Amino acid sequence: MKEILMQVQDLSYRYEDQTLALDKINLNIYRHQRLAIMGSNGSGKSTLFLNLNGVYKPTSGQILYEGKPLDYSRKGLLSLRKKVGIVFQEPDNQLFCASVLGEISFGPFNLGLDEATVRNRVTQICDTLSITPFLDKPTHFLSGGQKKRVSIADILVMEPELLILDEPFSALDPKHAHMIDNILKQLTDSGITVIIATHHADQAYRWADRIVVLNHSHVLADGTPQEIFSNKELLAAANLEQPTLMKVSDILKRKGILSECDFPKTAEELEMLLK
Amino acid sequence: MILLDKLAYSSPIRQKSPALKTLFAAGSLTICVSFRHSLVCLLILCCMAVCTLRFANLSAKRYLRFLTGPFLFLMLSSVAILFFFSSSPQDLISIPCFSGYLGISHTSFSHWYQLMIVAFSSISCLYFLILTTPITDLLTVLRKLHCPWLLLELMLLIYRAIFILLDLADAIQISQNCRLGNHSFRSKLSGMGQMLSVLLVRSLKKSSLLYDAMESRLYDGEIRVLEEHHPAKKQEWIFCFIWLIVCTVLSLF
Repeated sequence: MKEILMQVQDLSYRYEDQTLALDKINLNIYRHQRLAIMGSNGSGKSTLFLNLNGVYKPTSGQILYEGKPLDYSRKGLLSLRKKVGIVFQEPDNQLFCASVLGEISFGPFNLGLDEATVRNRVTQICDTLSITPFLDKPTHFLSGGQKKRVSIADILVMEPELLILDEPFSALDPKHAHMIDNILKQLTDSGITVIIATHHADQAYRWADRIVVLNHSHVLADGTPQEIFSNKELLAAANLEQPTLMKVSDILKRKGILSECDFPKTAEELEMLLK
Repeated sequence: MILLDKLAYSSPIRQKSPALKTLFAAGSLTICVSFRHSLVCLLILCCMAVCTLRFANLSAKRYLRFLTGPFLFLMLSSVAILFFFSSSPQDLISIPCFSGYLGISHTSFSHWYQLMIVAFSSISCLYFLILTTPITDLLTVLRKLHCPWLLLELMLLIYRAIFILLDLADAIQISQNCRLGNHSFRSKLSGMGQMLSVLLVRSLKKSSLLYDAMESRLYDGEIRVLEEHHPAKKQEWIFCFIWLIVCTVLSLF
C-alpha cells in the first residue's frame, strides 16, 4: 500500500482579482512518487504549488500533510516549508542575492543550521550541480542555465521531503537537462518525493510514474504515463502531445514488430526490445 | 554601472580582503578630506592612480576617461570659487567688466587649487575601491562595522533588483529597435514612455513574486547568508597602516 504524503481536498483558490485559478482540486500525493503535473499555460500549476507550500491559503477546501491539515500559523508554515520546497520556473524571480554563495546559503540558514553545517551543505550541492566554477561570480552575470542550476541548488540544499519543480528543464541545454534528470532520479531513489510541472511530453513520459493533467483549473486526468498518453481525446482536450517514443512504438505495434504490452521509455529501451 | 561592476569582479585583487581594501581607500580619503594638505593629496592621488592601474582590470586610457566626467563637473562647479567680482582690480588676473572687475586673486586661486586637488584625490580613492571591490564584498565590510541590518538588506536587494530591471529594460529596448521603434524622435519618446511604464508594472509584479519565493524558503524578515571569506596577510595590514601613518604625519607638517 502506498503511503499518502499529502492530500489535497476540494481545493479552490481565487486570486484577489476574482479569477478562479483552482477549482475543487482533489489530489493525493504518495510518498516516493515521481509525479508530473501537466497542463497548458495558465492551467493553475504554479498556483497549486504555491498552495502546497503554504504561500497561498486556499479560498476553500484543505490540504493535509501526513494526515494533518496545514497549519497557517507562523510556526506551522515554518515546519511545512522545511519539508516542502519549490523551485520556481523563472530563476530571476527566485534569486534575490547578488552572490551565488549568499543565494544558496539563504535557505539553510533559515532552517536554523549553524555556519559550519551550512558551508558544508553548500559546498556539497555546488559540487553535485557543478556550480563551483562560478561560485564567486555575481548572480547577474550568470547565463540562463547557470541561474536555473543555482535556483535548483537553492532548494536541494534545504533537503526537503517533497520537492516541487516548476518547469525544471526550461532554459537548460541538453547536457545540463540530463544532469538535472539524473539528480531527480537519485533523489527519488533516496526517498524524496518529487513533483515536476512540465509541458514536455517526452520528459514526463520518460521520468514520471504518475501524471496528473490540469486543465482550466480542474484535474482532467490522473494516471500512469501509459494511460494518459494513450488517451488521444484527453491529450487533445488538454493541448498536450503524445511523446515521440510512444508514437514510434505505436507504429511498431501496428506493424507487429513490438508487442502490445511494451512501453519503451527511452531510445535505449526500444533498442533492447527490438533485439 | 554594469561596466564598473564587471571591472570590479574581474580585478586581479578581487580575492583580497575587502576590509583591507576599504581601509586603504577610506583611510586615505579621510586624510585627504580632513587635513586638506595639497602635497599629501597629490601623493595620495598618484599612489591611488598607480594602484588602480596596477590592480584593477583597466587601461590607462579608460581610467582617464573615467576621470574626465568628475573633472568636467568639478571645473564647471568651481568657476564660482575661482572668479569673483569686485570694485578694485584683482592681483592675478583682472578683466574690467561693467563698473567693476571680474578676476582671480592669489587667495582665490590657491583656494581653488586646494579644493580641486582634495576633490580629485578623494575621487581617486573611491575609484580604487569600486574598481577592485564588488558591492557584495563592501556589504560584508559594512556588516562587520555594525551598519544597521535594515540598510544592508535594502542595499543587497536593491543591488540585485537594479540588474534585473536593467536586463528587462535592455530586452524591451532591443525588441523595440527590432520593430523599428526608434525610426523617429517621436517614436523614440513614446517607446521610452512605454518602456518605463512596463518597467514599473513588471517591477511591482517581480517584487511580489520574489517575496513569494523568499517566503517559501522560510524568510522570516532577516536575511542571513554566507559570505566569502578572504582574510588579509599580516604584512598587508602592516603595510597599509604604515602608508596611512606616513600620510598623516606628512599632513601634520
